[in-house]
Amino acid sequence: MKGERVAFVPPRYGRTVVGGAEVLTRLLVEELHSRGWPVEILTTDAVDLNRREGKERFSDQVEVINGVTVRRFPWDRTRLTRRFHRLERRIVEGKRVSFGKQEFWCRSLVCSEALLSYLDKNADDYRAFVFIPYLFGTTYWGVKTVPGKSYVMPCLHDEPYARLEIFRRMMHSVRGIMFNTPPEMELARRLYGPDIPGKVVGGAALHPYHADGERFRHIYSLKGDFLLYTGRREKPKNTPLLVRYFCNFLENTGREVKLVLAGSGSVEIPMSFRNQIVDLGYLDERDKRDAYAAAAVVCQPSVRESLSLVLMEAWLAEVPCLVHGDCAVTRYHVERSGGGLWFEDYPTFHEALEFLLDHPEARRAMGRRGKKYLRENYSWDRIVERFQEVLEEGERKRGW
Amino acid sequence: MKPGVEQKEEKGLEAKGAVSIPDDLEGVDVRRLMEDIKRRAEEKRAAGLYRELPLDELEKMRLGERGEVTIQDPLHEIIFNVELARHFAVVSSYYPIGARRTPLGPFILLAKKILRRFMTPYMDAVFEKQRQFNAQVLKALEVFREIIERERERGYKSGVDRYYAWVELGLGEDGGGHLSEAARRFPPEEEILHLWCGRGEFLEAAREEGRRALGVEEDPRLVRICQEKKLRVQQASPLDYLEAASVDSLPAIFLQDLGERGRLGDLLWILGALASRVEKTGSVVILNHYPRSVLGTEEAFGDPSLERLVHPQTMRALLLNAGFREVEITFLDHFREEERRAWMERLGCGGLELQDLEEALFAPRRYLVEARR
Repeated sequence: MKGERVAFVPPRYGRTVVGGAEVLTRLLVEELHSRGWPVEILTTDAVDLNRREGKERFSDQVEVINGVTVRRFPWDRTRLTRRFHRLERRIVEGKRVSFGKQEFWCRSLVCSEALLSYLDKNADDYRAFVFIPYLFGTTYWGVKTVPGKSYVMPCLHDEPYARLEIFRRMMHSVRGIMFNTPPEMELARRLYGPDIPGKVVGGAALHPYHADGERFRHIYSLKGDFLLYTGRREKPKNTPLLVRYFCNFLENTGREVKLVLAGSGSVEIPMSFRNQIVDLGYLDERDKRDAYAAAAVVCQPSVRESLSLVLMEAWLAEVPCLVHGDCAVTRYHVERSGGGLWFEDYPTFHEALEFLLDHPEARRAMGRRGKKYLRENYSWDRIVERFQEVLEEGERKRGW
Repeated sequence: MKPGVEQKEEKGLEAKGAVSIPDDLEGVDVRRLMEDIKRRAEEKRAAGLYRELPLDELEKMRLGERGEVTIQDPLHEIIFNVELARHFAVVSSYYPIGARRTPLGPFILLAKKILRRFMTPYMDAVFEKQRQFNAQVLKALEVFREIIERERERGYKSGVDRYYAWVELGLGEDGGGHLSEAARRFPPEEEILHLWCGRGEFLEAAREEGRRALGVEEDPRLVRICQEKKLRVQQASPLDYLEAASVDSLPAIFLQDLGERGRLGDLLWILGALASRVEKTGSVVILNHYPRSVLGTEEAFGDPSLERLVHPQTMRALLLNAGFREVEITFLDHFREEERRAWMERLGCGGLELQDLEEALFAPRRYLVEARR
């Protein structure tokens, strides 16, 4: 079977593209490529999926990134009608929306007719298509186009969209589903039934890296302990919540501790806390790694995570993580590894952060345990092995 | 999980709700720890000890207290302004329109839409210029940020700092008997403050001599080394520490290699600050290299972080000028006989008998200054 191409289909792909699913795709694809798998990327030319700012497009239709061929197809920027917004509101509010209307809504999500047409015409040239993540037109309509060779890495969160009938049917029609973590698989089975195909693959692993925390402190004039947040700064990631909790923590304790934010997007920082909250914006890979090494604690307040590369990067630097207790995935990682603590509201955030700041030895021990957990559970050998198992299982069902 | 260990001595509710951690940190059970944390949070919440306010209220409260807030670091200021500028740089000629739900509403809406359609080309022309201007300003700010970051990047490890010289290159001098000698100069009942305590060799010597000593060090890496040795150390800039100390409040201060690193201007400021902060009957002990010793000087400059030597007579004059009443200089760290013989052989002058040359070569390596107010 090997020798045929495996195509990954994310909504966008590029060197500068950030985002959990996109980075996960890049890591996995490049690892498979380095192991001799014939892999390819089929995607749209979108740079930013935000419709207001999403005017920028990748100019290269075919590009080779780190040895992997990327084929880009024009993103169909359909007009978001009043009907779409009405449906979106009903979905978010958890109200009933008919199957036809769900499909109409999904047609307005990021998709490309040219991509679907390519899938249809060239399906025989590929061994499998891996769609990632679930909530995009590229995935839903792509699976409908080539169901016999479709696999999904859903990166599923517990959100109203996940409860739509269109996605339930999609999950049942694919050959296999590749989950990042057991809690994600449990959520999928709860939502779509226990008979959906697939298993936990593990998403991606990270290679150990060398980092120089002192360099980061020197460049950005950071003295003393700081809490680090990396990733998109936006409401769905709970960044404003973190800022609010942290400001209250400072006000209640009067401690000399800083919050360092790094990543894309923007978050409002109160003027009076500008000396305690440093928003560095987008950092390159070296600065980001050095930031992890310099941090006392890494905070991941998002409740919509299916894997959380942030936790992995932090643990590789042996730094403990403070996560939101309502996120089944990050809490699962932290509970299993012992690599950090979690919070559920302001008082638990306050106490957990104070504990971590007051106990540097415990912090170091937690960081070490996180690293050990990664080594034992998220190695590339195991991930690639499980990835292959899902593909082979799907092919057996197809009668190959 | 092993029995917990109370980490802090606390009173009342604090003690009752203290979070415990196990002896064996590698085996820490985070579930148990979280139970402790939740229990503590619950008790403090019940006692009304948390104040959780929305950001705008916090902001109002803090700005009311402090007025204008200035950012302490220039790079942080630029980063903040770049982010702010980026937020406001996006200028769009699009604006949403609506109309009230009156019978005339649809007509008003239509009129507005027509008006917008006609206005848009003109507005676009103006906004395009604004967008270009914003982009240029943003680019200029980003260039500033890049320049600062690049300069700091180049500055990192480009100078050989004490940690780099002592720990990474292994070129630091080992603590010797002269540190114990210096510690003995202080009365046993006084707490000695050691500014720029480095790796804590003096603090260790003071402990062995039965003296209480507190180190102040600004380099966190050196602080960590002291902490690992279980020495009392505080991470702070010694200059800031000295500046913050009140007049006549410090009984005993120890400094090593004073004036031999950093700016000379700082040396003058430090001596002036010492003269006012040290208690009326207090003393300052300074342990420096003696430049008369040729071989001692060679040894001293084996530490690449050292920039210059200060002659003891210069130090005496500076101290007296700063306001110290009495300054006593003692020479110590003499070459031992076996060291002399080893050096003679290395220099190839085993039969050297010239008294003056020998004195220059083997003058004591260090001098100790005791300044009293």
